[in-house]
Parts: sequence; C-alpha cells; structure tokens
Amino acid sequence: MAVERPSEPVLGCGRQLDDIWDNLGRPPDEHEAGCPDCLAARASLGGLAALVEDVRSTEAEIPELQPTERVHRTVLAVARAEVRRGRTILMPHGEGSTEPEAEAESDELTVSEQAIAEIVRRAADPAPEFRIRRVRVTSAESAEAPPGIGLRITASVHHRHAIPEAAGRLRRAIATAVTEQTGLAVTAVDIVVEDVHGH
Amino acid sequence: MDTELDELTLVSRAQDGDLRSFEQLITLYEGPLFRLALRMVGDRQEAEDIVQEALVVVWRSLPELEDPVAFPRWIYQITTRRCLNLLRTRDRRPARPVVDTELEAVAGDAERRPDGVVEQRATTEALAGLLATLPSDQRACWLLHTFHDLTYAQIAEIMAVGEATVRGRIARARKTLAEGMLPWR
Repeated sequence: MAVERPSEPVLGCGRQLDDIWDNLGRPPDEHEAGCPDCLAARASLGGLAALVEDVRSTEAEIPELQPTERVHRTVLAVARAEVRRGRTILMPHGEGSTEPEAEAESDELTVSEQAIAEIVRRAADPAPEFRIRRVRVTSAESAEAPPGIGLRITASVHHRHAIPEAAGRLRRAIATAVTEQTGLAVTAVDIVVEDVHGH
Repeated sequence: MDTELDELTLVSRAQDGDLRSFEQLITLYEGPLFRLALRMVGDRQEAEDIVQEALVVVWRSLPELEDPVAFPRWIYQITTRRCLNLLRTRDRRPARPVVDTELEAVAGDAERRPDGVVEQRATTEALAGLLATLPSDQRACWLLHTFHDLTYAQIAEIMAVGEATVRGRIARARKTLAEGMLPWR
C-alpha cells in the first residue's frame, strides 16, 4: 500500500500553495507582489476559484445536473412502505376517536408512538414559539399500566418568546390533542429546549 | 409552515418516522448528492443509482443516528463511499472520462437554452476535464470541500483518514487543477 506523503505542495520560493489560496481574496502581500512564483500561482488559483464560482452559481439550474424524478419517487416509495411506527400503546376501551391511526388488534385498540408524535407535532406547529423535534412516550410500559402516558419532547424555541408561559400553553395544547384523539390521559409533558431559532 | 423548518428539526422528525420531513430532506440533498456522484463516477445512471441507494440507507438507518448535527457529514459519507466502491470495482474497465457526461449534459442543455450557453459550456467543460485528471481520493476530498462546504474534519471522517491527509490531498488537487487552468484561460 502506498504511503501518502502528508507534505503539501510548496512553490519554488518556499511558500505553501495553501497560503496563496487562503490569501486569494486579498491583494497580494509584500512577498507575493514581488515573487514571480507567487504571482503565477495566484493567477492560476484565481482562475480555478472563478471557475468553481461560475459552476456553483449555475449548477442548480441546469436540468442535466439534477437527478431524474425517479430518485425522489423511488426513495419515498421505499420509505412509505417501510414506515416506522415505534411502540404500540394500548388505548382505553370505549374512549377517544379512532383517528389518526388506531388499529384494531383482536378487541384491543392500540395507537403507535409514531401516530402520537404526529398528533403532538400538529398540535404544536401553529404555535410560533416552538418547533417540535423528537417525541418520546415515556411511560406506558405494559398493557396493565393505567391508561395514561408521559411525553418527552425536544424542541427549538424562538428567541423572542418567554419560555415558561409559552411552555405552559404548549403542554396544555399537546395534552388536550392527545387525549381527544386517543383517549389516553397525559400525565406529564417534559419539554427539553435544545436550540434557539429566529435570529 | 413546514417550509420554514430548519434542517435539525427536519432530521429529528424524520428520525421519528415523519415522512413529510424526510421528503424535504430528500429535496434538499438529492441535487447536491447527485452532482457529487456524477462528478465522481462520470455516469448519470450510475450516479442516480448511488444516490437512490444512499437515501434508502439513510431512511433505514436514521433512528441509529445519535446526533442530528452529524447528518450532513453522514449523508455525504454514505454517498462518497458508494462512489469510491464503484470506482474500485470498475478499475479493470477503461476509465470513462468524466468529461463525456458533463459535456453531453451541457450540449443537451444548449439546444433548449441558447442564452449564456457558450460560457456555461466552457466552464462546465473545463471543470469536468480537470476533474478527470485527479485520482479518485483527491477528487472526493476536493469536491466535498469546494462544492459541498464540508470541513477538513468532516472529510477526514468520511474518508476514514487523518485531517493532515485530507489537507494534503486537497492541496495537491488544487495544484493539479490550477496547473490545468492555463489552457482554459
């Protein structure tokens, strides 16, 4: 196996090509201005930089440099066919509606963690303060457990909003939506703020 | 509202199985990943296959991605390694010059959009011709850095080498490419 030399290209005058590259956006420094090696390297590297800029500014508009729709369609079809539902959680008998994705298994009604996450996102998305990221159902370990769940949610918060009041409203909106649509009582909604947006 | 979601939110939601967020990620990445693959392997069909397979792997493996911040590096890693694997299995066959595909691309484009085609053709042709002169490892490092804005540290992870090696490869690629610029200018 060939050993790759970590050394970098150096010009005849001793300057590294990388230094010339890094200085391209500025006028030549004192050495460069009087050094034929450096001036030649600046000219050709400058040409390369200009070429890259030309291509980058047009490539997204050239149809032949885009994939055909097949890629998008096929990947999405596979994702749909292999959709992840997460754990299933037993719904209380005779309560709640069957939307969005309640499934009848024998005489038990269950709801998937993925469906609960979707309810949470829909309940929270109209609120400008938070962007919901991940949703975990934290308790509902067994069929014998009481029909209540806890939720652990990570979110990004808008920088101009007061978190405590907004978080209170968000918790109530989420708990209401989940209970309305699944019949499950929501015992806790933990919101972990992991980011700030809207700068 | 969905269109305003930042990438970290999209990645997190896709990890939870949200198809709409995953579709937005496909829309964001399929173009850049395709151009990377096309410039690496020089063949439209093979480039599309690589991107398609890579995105399916991404969907299947998303729950195991621990840090959503690593998503860009991860998705480029899956794509780049597939390109390099293809090039390795292909090394018995005569190399198909990268220039062919980008040339065909621009020639086809020229018939439909005559404005600015001369310059566009010249630049795309020049880039494709230059890229064909680079060894594949250097080409990958240089493309990831220059066209996809990845850092040396990210590229080092993608290529499973040290940062110094990445730095050296990019510097040598620049030298070769810059020397090749003379006939173009």
